[in-house]
Amino acid sequence: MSKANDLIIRVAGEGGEGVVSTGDFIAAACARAGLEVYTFKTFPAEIKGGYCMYQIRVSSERVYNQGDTFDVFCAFNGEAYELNKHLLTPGTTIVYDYPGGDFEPDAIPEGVTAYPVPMSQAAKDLGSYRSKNMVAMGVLSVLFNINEETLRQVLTNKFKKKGDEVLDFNLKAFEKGKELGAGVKKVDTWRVADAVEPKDVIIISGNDAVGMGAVLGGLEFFSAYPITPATEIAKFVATHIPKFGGTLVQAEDEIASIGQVLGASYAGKKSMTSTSGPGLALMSEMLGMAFMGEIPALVVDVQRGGPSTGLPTKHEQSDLFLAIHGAHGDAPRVVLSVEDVKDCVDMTVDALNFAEQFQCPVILLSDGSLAFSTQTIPAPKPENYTLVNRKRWDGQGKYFRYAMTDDMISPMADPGTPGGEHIATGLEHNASGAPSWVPANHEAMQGKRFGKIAGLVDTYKPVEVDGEGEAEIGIITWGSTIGVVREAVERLRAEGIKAKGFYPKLMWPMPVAQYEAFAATCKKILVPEVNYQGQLSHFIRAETSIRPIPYTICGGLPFNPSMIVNKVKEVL
Amino acid sequence: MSVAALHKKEMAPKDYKSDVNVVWCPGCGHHGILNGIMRALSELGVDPTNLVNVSGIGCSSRTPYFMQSYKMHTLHGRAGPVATGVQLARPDQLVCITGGDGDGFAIGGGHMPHMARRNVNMTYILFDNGIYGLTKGQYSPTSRRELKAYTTPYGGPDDPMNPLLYMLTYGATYVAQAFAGKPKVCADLIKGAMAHKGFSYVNIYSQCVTYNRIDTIQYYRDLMREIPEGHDTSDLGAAMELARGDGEGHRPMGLLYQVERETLDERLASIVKLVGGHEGYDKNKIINLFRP
Amino acid sequence: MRHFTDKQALLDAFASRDGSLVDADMTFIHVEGVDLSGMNLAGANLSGGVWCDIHLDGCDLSAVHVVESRLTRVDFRGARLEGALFQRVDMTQCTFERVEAGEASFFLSKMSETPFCHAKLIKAQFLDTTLDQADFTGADLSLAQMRESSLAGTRFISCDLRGVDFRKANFHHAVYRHVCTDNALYYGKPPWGGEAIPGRDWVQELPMFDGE
Ligand SMILES: Cc1ncc(C[n+]2csc(CCOP(=O)(O)OP(=O)(O)O)c2C)c(N)n1
Ligand code: SF4
Ligand SMILES: [Mg+2]
Repeated sequence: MSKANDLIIRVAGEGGEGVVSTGDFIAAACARAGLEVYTFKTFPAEIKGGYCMYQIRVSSERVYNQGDTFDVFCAFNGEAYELNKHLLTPGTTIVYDYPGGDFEPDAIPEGVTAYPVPMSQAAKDLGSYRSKNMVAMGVLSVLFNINEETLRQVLTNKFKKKGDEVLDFNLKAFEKGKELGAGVKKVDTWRVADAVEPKDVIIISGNDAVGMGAVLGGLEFFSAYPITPATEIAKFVATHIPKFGGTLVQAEDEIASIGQVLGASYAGKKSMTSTSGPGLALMSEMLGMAFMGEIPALVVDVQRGGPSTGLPTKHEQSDLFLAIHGAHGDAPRVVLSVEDVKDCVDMTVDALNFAEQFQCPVILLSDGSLAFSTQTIPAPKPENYTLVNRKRWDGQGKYFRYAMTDDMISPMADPGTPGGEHIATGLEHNASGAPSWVPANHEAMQGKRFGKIAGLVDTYKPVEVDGEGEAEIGIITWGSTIGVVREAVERLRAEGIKAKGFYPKLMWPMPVAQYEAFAATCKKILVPEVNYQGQLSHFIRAETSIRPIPYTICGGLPFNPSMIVNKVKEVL
Repeated sequence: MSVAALHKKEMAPKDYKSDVNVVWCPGCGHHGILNGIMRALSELGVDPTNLVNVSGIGCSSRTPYFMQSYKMHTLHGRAGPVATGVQLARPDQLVCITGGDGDGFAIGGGHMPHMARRNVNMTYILFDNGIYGLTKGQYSPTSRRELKAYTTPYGGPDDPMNPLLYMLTYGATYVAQAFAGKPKVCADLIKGAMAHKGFSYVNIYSQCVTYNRIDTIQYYRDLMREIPEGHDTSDLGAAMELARGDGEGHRPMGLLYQVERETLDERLASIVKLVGGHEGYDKNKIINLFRP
Repeated sequence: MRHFTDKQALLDAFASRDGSLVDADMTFIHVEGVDLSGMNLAGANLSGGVWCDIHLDGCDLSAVHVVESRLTRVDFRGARLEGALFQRVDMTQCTFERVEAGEASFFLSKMSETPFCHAKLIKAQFLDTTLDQADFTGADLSLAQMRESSLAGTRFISCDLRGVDFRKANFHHAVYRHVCTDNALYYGKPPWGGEAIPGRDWVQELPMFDGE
């Protein structure tokens, strides 16, 4: 159950019934009212219709995750009710479509507040069943203190474009909902925090944020291949990159996407692609080529449940092995992993910069729950981002593409540069690019290619350590699980348990010394992550002297804070 | 091809050679094709600085090493997508793929239709020797069934494909075929291909003297028939008819098909034009779309 | 096979409108006793034929393509042969004195006793070709390749052999006098006297392809 000022509303129903737009409107209205928002959704697996859930967590303070469960549940239909009724624990509230909906609930459990509201009926009376979500919004706004003014502004902005008639109709439905809400006798105390001074924020999903990071990072070429849950990144880029004169193409498969990325990058353009695990697996040979040929390239992997087709729309953090070691031969790359939507923007810029700086493939890991999670984040300021361009040849003297240099990074030459003609090749080569299988050369070249990224562990921002001094439990985690752990650590401390967190974003090369230093201050180390094998635990065991306690789940859903809190209590 | 790369240099064919010595077997047809390519470049006056040669893996895919230019030696079967990326990133450059039948039609077969269909403005020269040369003689998608190769000691179980029909079907806008024993024909067709705006495909039969003992120079010579004068190269039906070969199993030599169609880079450029794209576009405009 | 013994007949059959034989496709013909000296045959294709007692001296034969032909007593003296390709060609008593044959290729051919005196053969390739008793007196063979060729009794006198690749050739049985051999590539000890270059690292020196 969330604390004061912190409310979690879940809306669920049939896809297409307006569940998503209801959620979006509420989230936007709250953000406009100066509140922090973190949303989480699951989509119907079917193409049309099917169960759909949208959860909004809203608070006057920063929210790091989707929360344990809901406080308020709004059931649009019987299926939604059936799938969520086990979560109706004492203290929760349910608003449901009755009479006139498609179900009548079982006996309401003790301690649960239930508000039957005839939402479908009201919508039908207004002349359009489709306006049910507007009615619901009116009901919820009155019952739970959702800022009416900002909600009205959001609705107006949205429907104004469709003409006055549409706008008026929707506002009428909204008013009707408010009327119904006012007629309900409120007995619970759930309410959205009051409006505060609005902040300079945007509200955006993880996938859109990656696209925004790409734009801010100076991306020039994107090659796409559709795959859940990454496709929205390509859509964002397709919409906006032509405004900068850039290019997005959809390739025939992921091998072709990464191939096109390497070609465009060789030709001098900042290039990237996005995919999910199955696509990344297909790209693995090309990533080896990019490493060998020292070609900058960014691949964003929005992880999903696997293996194989797996759970395409569900959450999992299970591509760490693939991202770090999914290559033939010895071919490491830079692997970054984001925690939240803000990271999706900022670290996409970092990732593009690293690709350019180190002339190698960079993999940025996001995940299925972040992909569709919308969050309020400070509005990015384009001028605050420093963009890195690859080292280019100055045209002096004879050109050696793979020349050994102090920082092991060799200048590149774009096609069309006189005197810079050279080969980018997957065959082992000497400084000029000519094939060479001399043992000493291969060793030196591997040393160069590994060496140039090794220093990143010292230069990239230090891993965030949450907490100070000695601790009974140290929790190391990655990806969107970090947000869950942040709250768990807070709660543990509130209960008097000395807990610390360690939140790496640079997954490879691994900042081993920082892991060791952190572990030295903790009696026990717990590593929660959403995969079966405990992939980060594995790397910790392999690369450090730490012997962590893995805590893995893989049910297609993220952790929630109480799971972590309970686990800590169990292992202490 | 791009205009920028054309008529920029007075260079003899041999001036396009690189320092790397050609490593093909003496007697390999690939030598003649390389000469044809260099001759075409010389006649077009291509500046090697504005030329990007891309290849996959195979004996034929080593071609870029032997030439002076920007070049990429990529992965088995993947030259097409990589070259597409180069072309889209730098439409002002001349982009050329050289590769083998195995590289192009076996492992890379999934990419072939899409280069053609999208009309990527580049030239694909396929060295068709009906064998995997570099891996020492396994059968390829263009091998004849009679060929007893390394992995087909009793002959091949499947029928060879027809590269010309394939490329015509998928919409290549320039389709030609030659034979390494006719370097002048090769040079002319390659020259036409490079000068063509759009995706141009030149299939060149090339004897592998080391591993394909049945597709000899003699065999290819008897196989080829010059395309009759008066063939209408803008007639897709007629081109396909030619590509099928005549009733006696001969194969056409010459230009089968050439039409003009908008290229992929042109279409992408028109999207940029449509939205009024320019480098200095204010990123804040995009950020503002996400304000609540 | 069509048979020609007369220059005019040959020109009638193959010359272009300007009267030259540039790029002419003269494949699968039998030509005997014809004098084509001084003509331009650049890019011509002479494959699959039989050519006897022919004068090609002073001709422009750059980039000619000659595959699987038989040449007897063909006189190439002073001809331009840059970029020419001779492959599986049987040559008997042909002469290549003073030819300009930079980057020409001679593959798998039989060229015993052929004189190449004072020829310019920079970067020419003689691969797997029989050159027994051939005479390279005064020739410039710098950076040429003679890999796997047979050089029994071949004469290299006052010859520029800088950077020549003799690997796998039987070059120990050739005759060397006044040769310049800097950077020549060969295995073992140099047959022209002096010491082998110590600690030579082949793979370092040459771009060599591994399999793929
Ligand atoms: C992914 C992958 N699979 C297999 C190979 C091995 N391989 C290298 S070249 C080749 C076939 C080459 O045949 P072709 O493209 O016809 O070229 P050719 O040598 O005949 O010119 C194969 C199978 C490889 N390099 N990469
Ligand atoms: S193996 Fe065949 S294809 Fe390869 S170089 Fe030798 S002859 Fe040519
Ligand atoms: Mg082949």
